[in-house]
Amino acid sequence: MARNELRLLKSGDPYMMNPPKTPISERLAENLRDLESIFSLSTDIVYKHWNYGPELKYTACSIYYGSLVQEDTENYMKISLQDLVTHVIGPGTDLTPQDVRTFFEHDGVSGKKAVVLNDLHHAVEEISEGRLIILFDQWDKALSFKAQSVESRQVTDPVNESVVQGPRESTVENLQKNIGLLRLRLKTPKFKIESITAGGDTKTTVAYGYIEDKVDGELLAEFKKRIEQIKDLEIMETSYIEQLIEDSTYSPFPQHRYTERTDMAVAAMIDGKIAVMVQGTGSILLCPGLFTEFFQSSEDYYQRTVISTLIRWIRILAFLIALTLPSIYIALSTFHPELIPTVLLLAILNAREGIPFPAFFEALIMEFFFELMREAGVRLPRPVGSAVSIVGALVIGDAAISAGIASPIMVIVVALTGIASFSIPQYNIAISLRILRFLLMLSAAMLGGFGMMICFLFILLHLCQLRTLGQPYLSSMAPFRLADMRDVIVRIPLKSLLRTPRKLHKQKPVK
Amino acid sequence: MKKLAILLFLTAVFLMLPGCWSKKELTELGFVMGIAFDQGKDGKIDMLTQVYRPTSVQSTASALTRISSINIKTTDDSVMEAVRDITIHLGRKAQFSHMRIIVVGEKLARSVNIGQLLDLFYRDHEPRSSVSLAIAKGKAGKMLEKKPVIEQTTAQQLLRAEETAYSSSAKTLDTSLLKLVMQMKSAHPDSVVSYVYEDKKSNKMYSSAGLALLKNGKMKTLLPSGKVEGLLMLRNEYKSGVIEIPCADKKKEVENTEILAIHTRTKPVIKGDKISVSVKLQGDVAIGELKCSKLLTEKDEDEFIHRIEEKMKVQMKSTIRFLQANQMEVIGIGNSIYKMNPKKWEKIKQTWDAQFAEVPFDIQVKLRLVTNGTITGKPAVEAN
Repeated sequence: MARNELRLLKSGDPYMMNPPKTPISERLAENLRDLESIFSLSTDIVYKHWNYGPELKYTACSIYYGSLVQEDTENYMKISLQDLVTHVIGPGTDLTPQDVRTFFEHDGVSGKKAVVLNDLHHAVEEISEGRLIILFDQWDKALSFKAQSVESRQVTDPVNESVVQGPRESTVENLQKNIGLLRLRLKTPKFKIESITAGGDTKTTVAYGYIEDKVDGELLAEFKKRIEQIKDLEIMETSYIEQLIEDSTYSPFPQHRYTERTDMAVAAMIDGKIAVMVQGTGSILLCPGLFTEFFQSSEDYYQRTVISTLIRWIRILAFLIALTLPSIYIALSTFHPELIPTVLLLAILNAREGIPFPAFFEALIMEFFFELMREAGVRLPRPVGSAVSIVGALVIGDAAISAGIASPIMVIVVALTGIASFSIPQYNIAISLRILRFLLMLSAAMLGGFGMMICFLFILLHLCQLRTLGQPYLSSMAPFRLADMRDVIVRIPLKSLLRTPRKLHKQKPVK
Repeated sequence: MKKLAILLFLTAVFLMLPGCWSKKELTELGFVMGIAFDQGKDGKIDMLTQVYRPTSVQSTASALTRISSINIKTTDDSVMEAVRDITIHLGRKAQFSHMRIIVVGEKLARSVNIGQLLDLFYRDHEPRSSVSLAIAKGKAGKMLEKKPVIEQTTAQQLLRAEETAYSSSAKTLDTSLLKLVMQMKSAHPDSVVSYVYEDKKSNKMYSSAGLALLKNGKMKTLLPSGKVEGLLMLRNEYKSGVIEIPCADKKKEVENTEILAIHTRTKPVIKGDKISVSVKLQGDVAIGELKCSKLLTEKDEDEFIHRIEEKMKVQMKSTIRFLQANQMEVIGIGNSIYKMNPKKWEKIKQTWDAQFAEVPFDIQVKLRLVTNGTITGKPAVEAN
């Protein structure tokens, strides 16, 4: 067996733990009967019968799912027999099952790698994974070839995380391809990828990678402990894993990051994170995700220091604006008009005169409209996309103002909030802001600036006690470690950033 | 679990029920821009409140013809009652946080202690102590009823006139509630308040020039605008202004210089029982207009500066004479004596006004000519 296949089977494969024992019989007809009863009512299973040997009297059969082995160009039967003879094979007229048995059981050098199987149920599992099984009459073992080829997406530009400068390589749905893309960037044997198979029906392969001497030992142990507990669940996507292993389910703040860029995953692993990938999906989950890391994007490191620092400040400001701008407007205009500069106040008065709703309801209605537009925009079919967006902009913006339902100030506030929330690189924290924004608006409408302060205190309390994989969520800021602040508010030059490693924990790394 | 549900329910109820004590929509408030106080009949106080009227965004046609403010007149025994009467006419609660100016009529200022009149505005949390204060010639209400020249409301116009006149032309002092109370509570409580009056030539305009001098909070005299410059120089509050000197030979023509910066040190010198004041002034000037002098050599420049210095001394001396004649010491010498020697001040406090009339002043001015402007130091067009 090939080495990496050995590895895949070793770590927690349920089959190797408790294999049910149904040996393959020496008679082909019996095997075929068993297989037919297992695979009944599936029209995409293919049984190909072959005859070989002198007078073509020995039989064999290849069994596979036609839908999984789409490229039907290789004749595996021929390839396997080709190894046994020294001449062009033809009908294989001088081969016998004994030759087959001796050659394959003793691991002869073969053209196409075949795995020898002892057990019928194991053979059934291999067929379900897309491999091709060849059963020989008068031999109680089966040969299994890797033949799976289903059309899958090419490696293209990342859809959600494009940069101006930098690699444009994104992950695809095939796990082996993704692992390959990561290994191309981390050419060290210290980059370990362990995997488990999860679920009874989906048997999804979940792989997680880390760099041995950079990841924290306790972190890895905690992660492994959590992953062990989800092995019997059907995992469809990486986000399932996030939701199953996260520390706080009801917190609005996400505790792990996602990316579909390979360079970002590699940079995170060098930083000591664990990258989790799932067969069938392209998102990579980076655990743990600290609050300060949600403001980092790969473009920060591909541009120079001064501009990266300034753009990071813009992002932090955008976060604050997206969270608080509507509530500041409500609090100032209903409770603290003395805090607004006089000339601005007169302009706001002009804008708000004649509006039938109080400021809070106006803000609520406009924010709600904006959320509706956002949801509709996600599901828009392309032909009607532009028409609906024009209608949305005109209706909500212009007509509402002319009709006197909303004031121009409110439209500006809502638009600024929306734009600011899109400036944050990670999508999952931007959507958490949507929840908190409404909470803040409610507290501002009830108790003004005081209410906002109370709400902020609660949010801060919540953030301080939040943990991600055991680490404190606000790690670089609270507990405050100056050595780790080098990438939070300012992005210090790469000359220092790359040479000094992160001193996050006092614990020793995995040896 | 049940406890948690009850706790949440109670929290929600307690947050919603009490109501919000200072929650008022912007459309429920009337923002007061300015107030004018006058003496009414039977010792009552006439109050005119100027409230901002917002122009709606939709009605663009009528926005130009609509005036941005409303004037509400109320009369009552005290200021606070008059304030409460505003709502019976206006329908919205008055909000004083953005008040621009308080104008007090001259008659009222001469008869009532102004600090006691304005006690409400010091005590209430809404008005800020940075509100401007002015005393008006005649009826203060008439000032606020005029149409604003360039700003949105008359009150704003008056405020900006006061501020800019102080900082650019030194014809008045920018007084606010805070400055007034600081003056009145200092060792020597004579104070100055800026003065506004209707323009003689057109009754649509007003001028913010001159200072009203207050003794014990009541207005006593008016310092005319020509003498204000001298006072500002003595108080070290001169920001910028123009000094005019007559031509050396042709007395009818005048030349001007602009003061860029001035720093004055006014110190009382106490020798036993004799008090004299030494004034040392240092400054930078730039040439504004030249009509007859030619500044070609350093000696010419020195002479020119010497003439400016003399003119400044003359201005200061004229102001001092006026103040001494009226026995109003508003230069701050009494406060300086108190700072230097409190015990001495206690002794001379009672007779300070009379004593001030005899105090000699020693004035020294040192100026520096910084620039001639963008052309050389002689008139642009030669006179024949």
